[in-house]
Amino acid sequence: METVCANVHRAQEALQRPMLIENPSSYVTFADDEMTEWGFLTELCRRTGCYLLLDVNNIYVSAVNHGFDPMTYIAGVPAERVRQVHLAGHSQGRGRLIDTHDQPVPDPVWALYQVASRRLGPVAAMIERDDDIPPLDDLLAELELARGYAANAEACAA
Amino acid sequence: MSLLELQRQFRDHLLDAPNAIADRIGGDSADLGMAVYHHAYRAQLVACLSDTYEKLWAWLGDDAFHAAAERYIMLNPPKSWTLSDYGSDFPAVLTELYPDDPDVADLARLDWALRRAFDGEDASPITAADLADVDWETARFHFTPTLQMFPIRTNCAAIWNALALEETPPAAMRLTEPAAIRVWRLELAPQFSSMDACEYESLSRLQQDATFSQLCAHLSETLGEAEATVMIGQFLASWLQNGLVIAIA
Repeated sequence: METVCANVHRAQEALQRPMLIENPSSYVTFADDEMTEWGFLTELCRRTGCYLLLDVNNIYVSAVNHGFDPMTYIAGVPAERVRQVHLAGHSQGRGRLIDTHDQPVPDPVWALYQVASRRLGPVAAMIERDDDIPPLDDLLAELELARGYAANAEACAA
Repeated sequence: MSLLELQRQFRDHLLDAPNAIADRIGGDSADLGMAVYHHAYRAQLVACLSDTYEKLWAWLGDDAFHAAAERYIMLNPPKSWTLSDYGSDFPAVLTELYPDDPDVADLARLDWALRRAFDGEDASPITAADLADVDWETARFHFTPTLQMFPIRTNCAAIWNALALEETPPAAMRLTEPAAIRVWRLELAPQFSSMDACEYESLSRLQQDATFSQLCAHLSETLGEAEATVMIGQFLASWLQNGLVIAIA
């Protein structure tokens, strides 16, 4: 925690502005882990004033790989610090989900996005797609889906 | 265990060096999780080399390129803070792997130089109109910071151009005369052009801080004054037209 905070402080001072830190997909946990990832990010924001880029697909991938409830993660991050949301697809590897960015956003990630949208309010969202790029119409349809879920969450909040 | 020690154990696992990372991993099936990182380390570096050395990849084909890339990755863990520096010594590895095919390393050098030019420093070239006040007796040339030059032994330029146009490339041939390639960036587009030995030497001398009059004297000595005057005029026109020169002072 001290190391990451020192590095974030240093970067923020050089850039003269707060940064957004993104949660990764992970494939192992460590025996000496003392905190949950969302607990770590919450503390990081508190100590450095940084913001979060919440990758909903990464939460799902890590949740399946490590057996935690992704809803607990979403409920555990400081909502007011989240400035952007990422959506993406993943692949099934041997015994692990892999963050590959080469698939459409799957249903469980959309379900998490709906929960996240309700909790976070209106936050910019981006769909990441780095490989096996489909025709533009397919991507636009996916974008419409994301916009629909976000609008729905706003309507619920209103 | 300190964070630094944990990171070293993790790195050694990626590099197939002896390590005890398995003891530090939580949960079960640690090997499945570490296998993802072990694979991704290599796959991402192969992807990086494939991107930088795109024409070389097309020239060698998938199997030969991947074999060379894997050998390079095994010998050269990334050392820079940026992935854009990765692969600088790939041409040297290719020279070793293909001692009888200098076209391979030539193409690699060209791909590398073009990529360097791509993210090199910006500069504003001068034109012939800016030469009015130059004192040619004392003038030194300042070239665009993305300018790189290297000698070539083969028709790598023709091969590169054909591959870029997705045409059938010519067979590799050794050049009969010494030649070189210069690479630079003009606005947003990396460029290259072949040069004969005389132009390469002239550009190199100026780049190494010779004055223009020193270069003229040298060329007059080797070519005779009449031919030297013609050559210098042609070089100067070509360098200015290419946008290589940013100042003459």
